[in-house]
Amino acid sequence: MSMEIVVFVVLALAAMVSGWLVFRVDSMARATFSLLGSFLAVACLMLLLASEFLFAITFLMMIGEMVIMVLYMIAFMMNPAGLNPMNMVHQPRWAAAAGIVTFLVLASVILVTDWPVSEANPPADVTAAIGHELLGGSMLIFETAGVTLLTGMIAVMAMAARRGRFGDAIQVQREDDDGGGHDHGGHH
Amino acid sequence: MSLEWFLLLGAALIGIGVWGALSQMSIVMLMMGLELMLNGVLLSVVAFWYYVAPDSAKGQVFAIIVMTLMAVEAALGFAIVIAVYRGKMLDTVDGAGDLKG
Amino acid sequence: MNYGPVNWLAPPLALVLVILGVAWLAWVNRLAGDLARGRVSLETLMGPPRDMLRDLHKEFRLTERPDLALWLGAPLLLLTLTMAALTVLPLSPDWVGADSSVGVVFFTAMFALTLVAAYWAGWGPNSKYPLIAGYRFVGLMLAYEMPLAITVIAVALPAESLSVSSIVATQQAAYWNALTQPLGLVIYLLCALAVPFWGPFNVVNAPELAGGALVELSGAPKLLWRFGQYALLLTTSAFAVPLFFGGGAGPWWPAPVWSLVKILLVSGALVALGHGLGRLRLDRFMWWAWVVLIPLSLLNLFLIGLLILIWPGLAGK
Repeated sequence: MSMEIVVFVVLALAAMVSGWLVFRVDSMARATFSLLGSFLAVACLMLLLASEFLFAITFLMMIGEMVIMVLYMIAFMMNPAGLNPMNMVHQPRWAAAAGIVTFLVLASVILVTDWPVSEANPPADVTAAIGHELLGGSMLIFETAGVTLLTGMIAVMAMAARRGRFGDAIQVQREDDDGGGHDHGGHH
Repeated sequence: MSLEWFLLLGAALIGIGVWGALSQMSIVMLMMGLELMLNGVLLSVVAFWYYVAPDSAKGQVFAIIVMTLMAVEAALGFAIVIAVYRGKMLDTVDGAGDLKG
Repeated sequence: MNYGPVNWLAPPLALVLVILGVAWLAWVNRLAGDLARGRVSLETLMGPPRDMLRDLHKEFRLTERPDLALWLGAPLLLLTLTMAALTVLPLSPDWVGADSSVGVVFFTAMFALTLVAAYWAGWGPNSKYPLIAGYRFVGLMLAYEMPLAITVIAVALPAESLSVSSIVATQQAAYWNALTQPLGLVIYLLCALAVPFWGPFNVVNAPELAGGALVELSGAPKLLWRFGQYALLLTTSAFAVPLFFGGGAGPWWPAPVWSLVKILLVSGALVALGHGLGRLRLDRFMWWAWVVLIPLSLLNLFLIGLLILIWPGLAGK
């Protein structure tokens, strides 16, 4: 029992610290991989909640997602390696206040509510139970999620591909671009 | 270890995500704040399944759907970043407020 | 959540076996190269140990403003993911690190970490050829991860379980998956070459990029990076044994011995195949994965499902 508490505390600290570090490090690559670290810590926490399948699936999906995100970060951010520290925040105090207020509100709700904790045990083979549930009672949800994914993919192609809706914008931009950088709107 | 511990950790991740999403100027960094919030939500969903209703697998299906929607939201966010960049040559939220007001 | 008592002998034994396996692969690789050039000699035997000692006693050079944590973390991550994936590999029903009930998805997730390791090896040195190599590998791996995942699902289908031990048990009760799913075997072996960027898929240590990630690496990290690549190739081909070749099944010897023999044969064959298959341009490889291999692996999944519905005996029932 105590080993589980130690594991929980270590993983919880890892998740929170790496989540906080995402917005504090200068290097954009390190920020993305620190977000990946937060996800992997949460995935390992799911092992404590008897969810082995979710642990493995979260690992798979989050690794792919974060590597794609790091490609976008390096492509779009002005300071990818953090070699010249820049301050790219706006309304820092309001944002910090909003974050703290959110946490306090949620924490008070969590501590005040009397949760209906059940005495039942998880099924013996959770993965088989998930399979039966996905193709049984929750089939409609599953299909809807599949159609949502397909819609998302088509929307992404329409917005971003050369033959998509904004494909002509690429041509126009290349004629106007005189080799200078891009500006960031707002102010620094 | 009880339900409250996991929920408090989830709330902490949501709080950090809110701070990040509201404070960052770049769209991609804002998306990372949103991903952190969804991370906290995912942990809370699985904790609720384990402590409140473990005998049915519906909680796990809920968690799988949350993860699917995370992926879709990230993909759409990236496409929006590309489309905004192609239209206006910028990648921050401050300059993309055309629909405001 | 209770996996039983921890067997403290298992990690050192696994490390020793991996080192021996990597030595075997290094020699097979050297032998295949020398055979192709017709220059087999004593140098073939002495070459790999001499390369190892040479790398060990060279100094580690820094580049200009590298990202040192990511750069040095890349070989460590590669080795860590290999050992983590080996945890669920059963040499026999008793000789397994931790038989997880989702073993198949677990090792696929560990192989996905190769994306991160190769990206770090590309980003870390702050140099353009490793960066190009790392980016190319991200595109390649994302393409080849999908057929791998679908093919291992098709392998788990007859066993009705995601745990590698029950896949072995089902094969020993019925037919080997190599016989019932030959298409799946071919797809899996191709992906087993692509994940550790070996042979035709070698875009990370690419000869056409002046060595790719090997350009700036030197000394002990370089040795560890190449060791990790060999270990990952050993692991991906090692998983073909319980998934397709029946695990430790065989007539006279005990199960662990048969498992190890089969692993050495499959990995040696893949290493030698790397010398035989030609290089194509990267986008042709990616086209192959997205347009040909994914539909073929879905077809494989459909076929094995159909076969089991018609002949339940194929699943050992």
